[in-house]
Amino acid sequence: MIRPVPVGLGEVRMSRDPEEQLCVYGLGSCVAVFLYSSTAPVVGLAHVVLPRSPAPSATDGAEPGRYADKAVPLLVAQLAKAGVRQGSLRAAIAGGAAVLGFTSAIGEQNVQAVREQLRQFGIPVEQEDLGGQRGRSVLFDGAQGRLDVRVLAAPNIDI
Amino acid sequence: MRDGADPHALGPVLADLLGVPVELSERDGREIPLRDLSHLAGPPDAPSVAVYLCDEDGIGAQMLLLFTPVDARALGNLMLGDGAGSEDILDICREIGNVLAGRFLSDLADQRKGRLTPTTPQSTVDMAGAVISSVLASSPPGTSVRSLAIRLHAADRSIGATLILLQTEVAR
Repeated sequence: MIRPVPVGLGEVRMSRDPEEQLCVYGLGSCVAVFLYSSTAPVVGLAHVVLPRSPAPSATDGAEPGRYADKAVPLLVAQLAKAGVRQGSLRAAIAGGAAVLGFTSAIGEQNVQAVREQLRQFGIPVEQEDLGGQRGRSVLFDGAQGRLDVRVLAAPNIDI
Repeated sequence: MRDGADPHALGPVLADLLGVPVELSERDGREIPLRDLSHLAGPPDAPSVAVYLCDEDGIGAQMLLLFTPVDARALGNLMLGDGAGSEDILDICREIGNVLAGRFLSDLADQRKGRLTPTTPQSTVDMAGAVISSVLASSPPGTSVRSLAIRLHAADRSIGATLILLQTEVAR
């Protein structure tokens, strides 16, 4: 039975359990970075909040995934430690929205920073759902290797 | 924010505006891990009517007011009578945000001996977590978070809302 496993702001998580489905609920300007392998049944997820860490010690706390420039290397390292070959990694990324309009700069910067990190590691982005002005919930189906994106029913929610 | 404006002063302001008893209870955001902050107004993927304001003069304060769509409609009905349209309800929510932010920022400006120019309220209907996390991400480093649960006691029902107040350390 599939179990959704929510990953909170700034968290990095990896799963080998085919019954676990890593996910982020209510994603706004943040970016969800899913890494998966073409050769191993493993999925990793970083919930990136900001593009760059302000100082080397900024990830000393409990949220190492907060910054794209720390989260992606950390996730790659965790997957490597689990025996996943870096060359087999693929990425699915989602988020970077301009919810309320004023957050557009952060969302775009997050997306650019994540892309840059993935490029440095030579990890291709196979699936993406980025930008816009709406929040998203994103789940990754490890068995199918498929990104599932859900949004509210447009701006026509009945109030 | 402990040395800033007292958010509990907002209860009487809201009670005067709406003409109903108001309860405020606080959950200190500083005790909440980052990973859980998008849960401040309930499930992060739940629909939410959100109103946002901040100051334009460097006081470093922001305010986010969130209602469930059901509570926003109940509020609209309370203020305008049954059958209020969605735009009217959003106007009511923005106006409440405007009044609360005006008081909050005014108190803060008095303490800082600074100027006060609140922005025009911005509103959206979206996932609560998406709105909260976007505001947090756009906030400067050192921003503190206070979260208050609001309960309005109308004649036939209780109406809930979440008020999130953010203030930057540098401006304190």
